[in-house]
Amino acid sequence: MARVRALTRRRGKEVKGAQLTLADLTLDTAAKTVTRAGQPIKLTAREFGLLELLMRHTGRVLSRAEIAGDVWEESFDAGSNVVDVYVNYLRNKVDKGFTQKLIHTVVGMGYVMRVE
Amino acid sequence: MTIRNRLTWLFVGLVAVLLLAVMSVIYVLQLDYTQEEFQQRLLDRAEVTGYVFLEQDELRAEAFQNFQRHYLRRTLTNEVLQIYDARLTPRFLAEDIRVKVPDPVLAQILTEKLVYFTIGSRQAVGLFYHDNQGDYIIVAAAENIFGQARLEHLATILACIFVTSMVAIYVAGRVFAGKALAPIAAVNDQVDRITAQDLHLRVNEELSHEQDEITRLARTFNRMLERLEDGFETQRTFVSNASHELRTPLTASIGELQVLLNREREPAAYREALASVLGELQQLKQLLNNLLDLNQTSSANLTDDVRLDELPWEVREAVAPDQRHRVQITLDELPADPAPLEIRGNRQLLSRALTNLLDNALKYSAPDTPVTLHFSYNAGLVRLQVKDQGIGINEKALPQIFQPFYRADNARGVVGHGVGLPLARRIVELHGGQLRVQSRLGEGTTAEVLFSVVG
Repeated sequence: MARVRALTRRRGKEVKGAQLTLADLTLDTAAKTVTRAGQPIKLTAREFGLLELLMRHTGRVLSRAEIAGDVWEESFDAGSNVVDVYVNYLRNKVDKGFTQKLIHTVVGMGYVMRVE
Repeated sequence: MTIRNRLTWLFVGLVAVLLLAVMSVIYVLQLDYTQEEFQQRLLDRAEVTGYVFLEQDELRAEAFQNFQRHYLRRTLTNEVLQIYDARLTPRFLAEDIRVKVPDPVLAQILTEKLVYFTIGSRQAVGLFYHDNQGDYIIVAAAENIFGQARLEHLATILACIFVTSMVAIYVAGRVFAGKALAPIAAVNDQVDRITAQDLHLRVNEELSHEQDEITRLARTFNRMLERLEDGFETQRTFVSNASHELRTPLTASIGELQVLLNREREPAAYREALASVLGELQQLKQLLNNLLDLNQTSSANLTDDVRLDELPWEVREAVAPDQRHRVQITLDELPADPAPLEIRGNRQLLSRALTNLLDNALKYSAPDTPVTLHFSYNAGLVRLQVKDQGIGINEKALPQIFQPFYRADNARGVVGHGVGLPLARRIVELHGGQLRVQSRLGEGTTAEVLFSVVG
């Protein structure tokens, strides 16, 4: 246990201050927190992973397969709607109630985060 | 106050009230009858007097008194007969000082024609009598000695009956109540005799009539004793199994260390032996953790909001790294709204339950075969399946796999204690879910966790 703690401490120091920001949305990769306009947003681990991926690649369109492979470390059957559903979950938590939308769908290609 | 005394006194009280009511009615009726009868007799006297004096003209007072002495006096005590005319003055007979009839009463007789009244201890009747010589008032008065005596006698008899009845009812009530409650006392004595050491004893179910309350009480006691005995038995088996499971790795470690200390060895040998002992100790610790969890899981610490669709990934991360590649996660369609996927519970416990299922799947199947973790949601039902292509479970063994420490025959070759599955089920049920296991010997096993969520 002590060893595990020591490891996380070291890792924590490494990425300390690693904050990703887009408009008024902030994601802290170390503390695993997300705030928008100062309000904290509660995300599940997978939702956080998805948001982190999108924010790390702001402005770049990510395909469903790319997202699935990164967030779920899995390639889903074409039938699974998990990526779409999770992007939707994330939109409800991040964009809902704000006039400025940050998560966008690129028809036929995938998803992208940017300020429009 | 015992039930027996309460019943007896209730019984006595009820009978006393009933008896008093009946006796009062009897007494009042008798009183009424006595009075009416006496008044009738007084009226007869008055009429006879009127007839004798006024119809038989010119009868002298002495002759009447003679007549009265001969024919009438004996039957009524202290009888007085008086005749008044319309001016309320005594006629024919001198006014008897003992019975001075007040004038208002006489006047009342004149208007009402017939009046019953009392003078001192005497009852009296006043009769208006119309004759060719004029209007008269005849008063007959006497003491109702016999009637009074009869009433007193009746009262005495009734009182005697009341007292004896009460005594009889009390005694009978006590006897019957005692008899009715005797089986309860017997059940009480028998239950008292049963201690933790002889839980196999039972209460006699034939103490009373079939189907009555006491027989039911005895049956209820017996069912409770059965459950207690089962519980004690389970506990005993559990303790003896647990002791055995704890002793085995300890004995192995001690043996290994003793051999190691026999003589000087190469450092490599020490390292190898210590690694082996460390492995044993880790096994032991895991077993103890599982045992503690098995006894300590309670609904008190279900305070996290757990997203069930996240669990498969959390669980896979908990698997040993060299095994992780075997775990394949598949997802069905997810609902557009994530609310039904979230339940209130304990994330750590739920993760432990699924990890146990996943560990079993990995342990009891060949190292190169995949294990599938499948998540699906449909109409308010969340389903988490752990599917392997392993050795499977014998049909006969299947009902017993949730017993702590139970190990199927074909599982003996694999390290394990038989605690993981019971613990998993306990945790799942604590969260309001269901754990089912389906298996086919030699083909594989599917463990299924089901949660009914609000859709």
